[in-house]
Amino acid sequence: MISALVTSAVVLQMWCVAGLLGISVLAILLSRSKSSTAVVYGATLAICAVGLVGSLRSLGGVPMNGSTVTLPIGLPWLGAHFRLDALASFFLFVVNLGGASASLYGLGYGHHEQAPHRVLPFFPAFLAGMNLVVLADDAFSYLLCWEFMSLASWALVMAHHREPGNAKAGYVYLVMASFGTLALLLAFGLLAGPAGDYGFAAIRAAPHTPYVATLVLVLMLLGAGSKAGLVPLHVWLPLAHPAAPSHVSALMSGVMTKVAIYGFIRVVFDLLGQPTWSASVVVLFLGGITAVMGILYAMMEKDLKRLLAYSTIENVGVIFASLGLALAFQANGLKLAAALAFTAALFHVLNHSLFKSLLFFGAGAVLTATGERDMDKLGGLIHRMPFTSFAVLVGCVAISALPPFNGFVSEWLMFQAVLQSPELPQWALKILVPAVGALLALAAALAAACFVKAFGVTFLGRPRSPAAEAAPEVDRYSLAAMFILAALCLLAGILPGPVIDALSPVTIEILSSRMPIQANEAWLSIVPIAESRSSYNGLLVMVFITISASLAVFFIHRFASHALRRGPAWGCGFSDPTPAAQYSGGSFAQPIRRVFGTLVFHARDHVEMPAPGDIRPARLRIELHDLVWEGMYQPIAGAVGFSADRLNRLQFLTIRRYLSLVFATLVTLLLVLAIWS
Amino acid sequence: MVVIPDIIVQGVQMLLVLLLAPLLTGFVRKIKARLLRRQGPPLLQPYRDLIRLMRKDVVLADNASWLFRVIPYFIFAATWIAASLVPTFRSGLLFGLQ
Repeated sequence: MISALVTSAVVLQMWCVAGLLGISVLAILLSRSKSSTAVVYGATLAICAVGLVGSLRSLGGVPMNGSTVTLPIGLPWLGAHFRLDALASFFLFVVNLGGASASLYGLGYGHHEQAPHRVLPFFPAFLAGMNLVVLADDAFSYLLCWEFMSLASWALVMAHHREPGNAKAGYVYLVMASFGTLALLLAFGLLAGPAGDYGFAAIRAAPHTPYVATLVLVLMLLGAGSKAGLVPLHVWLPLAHPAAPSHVSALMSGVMTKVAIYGFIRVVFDLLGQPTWSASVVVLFLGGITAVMGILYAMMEKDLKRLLAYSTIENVGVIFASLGLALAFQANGLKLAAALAFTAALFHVLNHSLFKSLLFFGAGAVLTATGERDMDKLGGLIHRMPFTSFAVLVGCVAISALPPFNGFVSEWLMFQAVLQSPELPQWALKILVPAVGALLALAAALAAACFVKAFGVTFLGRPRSPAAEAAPEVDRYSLAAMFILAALCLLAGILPGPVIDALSPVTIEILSSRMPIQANEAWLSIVPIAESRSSYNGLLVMVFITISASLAVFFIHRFASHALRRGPAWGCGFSDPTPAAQYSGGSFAQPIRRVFGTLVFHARDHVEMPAPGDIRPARLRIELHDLVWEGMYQPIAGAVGFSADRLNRLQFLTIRRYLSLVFATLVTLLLVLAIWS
Repeated sequence: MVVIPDIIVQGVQMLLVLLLAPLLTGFVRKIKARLLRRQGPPLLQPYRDLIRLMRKDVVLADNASWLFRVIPYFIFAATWIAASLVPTFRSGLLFGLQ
């Protein structure tokens, strides 16, 4: 009976979406009952697991006869087209993996929710929206699903609307999402051209003039870039992502930004056809700047969830820079290098969805256990929450791109692609690509520093507040979700070959080239171009680190002293200081603030030293400016506010004035028409 | 298997790096001292320091976690692995740059 309903892979995915929407309705009906949390998250978990298996099968090239479906909804002459190809399968895999782990986490975390009826109906709807965006095969359904996804996530951002700052976050998000959709609307309008065929197949077949292609690229950077968090369109992201409940934050940061990247790839790589090399310059430049700016913001942050949101911006920058590299190589016909850069981007998409979800789950666990997001009020949690802290440690190591975890592999592949830049014929790219490579290397190093700070200040040292001192370990579901993701981070890091091979259908479809088959390499190594150039073996690195660490342990314990003493920490002669006097997040960031902050944030340190004899404490005040917000958004907001104030007078006119206004408008329109024609 | 001799060569190389590293430190200290017209410590002083440090007790802070105990070994291992990539007495090592 099931096989009668599920005739193809895409139909299976559509049934999953229908199931998610059904759960959403069910959640509204159940919203007041006690069991609603378990029912909704359990059902979402099951459906996401089905979608996950389905997407893996379709990515592995097991076609179930045909991969398109047309529903008789949407525009009357068009219908709603949905299609499943390799690219969509990969992104469906990412979405459903994130969805499944967030649902599993939600099974435990959801019980702490103050207002479940504000979260439960929108959570499956948000997942359904993301699935639909990836599946859509015409511009109209794409935009509709995109808006559905945005609105569902907006509702989730506003779930705790009474908390300070959340209303502003929701407002900024709504404005930026509308702006992004407007840009996408214009981009699809340009792509469809005067003929107005909105099906992706027709758009792909039609030729596009260079002028249209450039405009579409810019509009896609604005539309998809604002959703993904490209600097300077990122301002909503660090406000909105932390405002949502933590498992939703994980979905927004780990998965929704990837859906935006999917949109960019779909239009720029697939629909526009052969790229020009000048397009890659913009993408590369924006990617590099975004990576460095994102991680610098993260470094300055002391709110754990906002730090993670800023780090998402960094990773999006890394992915866009890889995509820019792929564009540059593809425009010049360097097929192998393009496949390498593109694979690196996709691999990083997967990796980031894994470890960012894990870290947001960890932040959520800390939030449930202590009620705190401010790192300077945490500390010492490794004793109180040993399992959570271990999982978060794995996430921090993975996101810092340390071998043998997965972050290293994708960044290594990307740098291998950067090293191919001398083969590019254009001098602009020959210079720009290594410069962007240097920016990315800087971002990677800063990311490591940032996560040393995030983990060290939160989990190590002494507790800085009573809440941190009494923190309990979180429930089993949350721990299971975190440990599954941590295991996947390690697995993708030590066995990158199968992942790269699994991505090859996508690169063949989009770039019609692929990386060398990794399954043939000896010892599970991965080889980006050729064995003689470079290779990496995550498993070997892990085995050798383990062996040499064990050897060191063995020899130290065999030959060195066994005596171990515990004593109070050395307080530099100032014994038993308050825990607040420990090294804090701000202290950790201080050197980096000194080096980069004066330029990037106009950072100033003010020391208020009382006069001699005065017994007031001295104070250090740090002044930071968000130049993007102050220089770009505040003037725009000011101009909109100013004109709105002026136009407000129109609201309080007498009927005579209104009538004369209407008459004047009519006359002006007629005049314009008369002169125009 | 061609791999077995390769592994032995790699192992010898790693051992050599480990054993000679303190000597290099001693040598650098000696040169530094001589440049300042001082006598400087003996060449083998770093070895003596290491042996002496091995006999000392481990002192941990009250709130130090398992991470504090584990990480030094990992740092050592990571440094050692990195050193194993550098060719010392033979190029074309198993891990090294080809």
